[in-house]
Amino acid sequence: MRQRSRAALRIAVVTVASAVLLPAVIEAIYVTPTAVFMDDRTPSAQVTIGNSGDTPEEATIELKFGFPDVDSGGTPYIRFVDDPGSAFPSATDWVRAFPQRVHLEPRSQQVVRLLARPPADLPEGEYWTRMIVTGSGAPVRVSGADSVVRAGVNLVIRLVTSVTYRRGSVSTGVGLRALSAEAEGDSLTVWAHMDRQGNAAYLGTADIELLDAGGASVRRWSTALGVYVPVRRRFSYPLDSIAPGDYRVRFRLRAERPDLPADRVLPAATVTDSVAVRIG
Amino acid sequence: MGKLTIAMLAASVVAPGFFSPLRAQAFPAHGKMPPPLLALAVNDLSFGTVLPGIPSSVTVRDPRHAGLFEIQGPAGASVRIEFVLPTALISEQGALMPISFGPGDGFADPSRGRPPRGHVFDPHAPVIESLGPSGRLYVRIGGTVRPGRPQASGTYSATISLTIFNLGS
Repeated sequence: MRQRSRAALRIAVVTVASAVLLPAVIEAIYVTPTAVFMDDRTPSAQVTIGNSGDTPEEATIELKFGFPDVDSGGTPYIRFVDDPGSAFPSATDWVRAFPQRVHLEPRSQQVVRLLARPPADLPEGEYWTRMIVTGSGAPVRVSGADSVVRAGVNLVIRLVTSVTYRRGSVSTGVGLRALSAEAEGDSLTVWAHMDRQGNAAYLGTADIELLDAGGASVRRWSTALGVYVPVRRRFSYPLDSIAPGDYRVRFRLRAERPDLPADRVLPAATVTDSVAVRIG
Repeated sequence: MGKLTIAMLAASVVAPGFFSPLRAQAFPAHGKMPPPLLALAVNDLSFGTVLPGIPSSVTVRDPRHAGLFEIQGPAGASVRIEFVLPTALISEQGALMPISFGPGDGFADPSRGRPPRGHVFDPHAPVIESLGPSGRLYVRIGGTVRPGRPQASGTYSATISLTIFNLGS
């Protein structure tokens, strides 16, 4: 009897703890892969869109031309161009997604197929578009009596990922210049001008390393990046408990991306530069 | 419904010709499939019952009422997060209730620690973040509603859109 009471208590504790610690997921959308690559040999691809939430979802799939760029403050963003014309290497007009709207039951997924039908006379090079997956919001859940004022906000999610089409021989590289660094308050700000080379986007990783006067590494940060057009980008990192003094910032760009298919990351020479910075 | 049926039918018809061969993309030497880009809306931003003429705020540190998003993806992935914020809530009868968001109404937290450790941001401006070693990022959002006096009774709602841009490719 006593054992049974203990078991009941344990179940009650677990139930209450679960209710407190595990909030219901009201909306959950995922996309994989996060970067799609196609070419003349494989002019199609599959993308999986899923719902890991607890309620059914409606998701729409849209393709729009865009690429990573940097604003005047050095902050990266996806630059969308409504009518790219011939000035930009857009694949938006000839890549299609099927279907463009999916219904996803809780914890289910669906394959969306991308099909490229490029013009026969398309020049060699790389062509881009962005896939935008939008999950519709669940109705707001606000409880209360009818005679009061209740207020709540729904949340809607959009995920934006890349779609790339390569024709013929493609190559890439990156140039690095005008490196500068400054300690501002408790942050390290690094500016780097990066130029893409070749006829394809540079996909790589930026390693920023803080070296002390003896050349020993005291802090290191890494950021995945794509260089599609010439940019002057700002990188900002917390300095936390770094002691005041003179340091060097070593900035390295390497064409390695653990999050992308190895055979789709184009080879490129590693580029390194460094600059002095005073902290404190 | 008709459009959906047609699109799916078209996909199934053209698949045998155009989608063959569907080549699997090769992944890095470590052999692990990179995780998907995933966004969860865990909590709605909820003000509950409010009184006419009295502003009501939800702070980002209110775990029960603040809006909470969880973003997952490859470790170290660089993402840009943008909100589209409403200026008013609307009732089913069409009445409006202003809502505003201040410079401290956003909070980005890579750990979801207790207490949360991260940084405050203005949800009107974009946030650039790396997902960190865990591949996770938690984003909270608060706000303030300003019911009028009088304010018609009812349920008021609006939509906050969150867009996550994968900046790495």
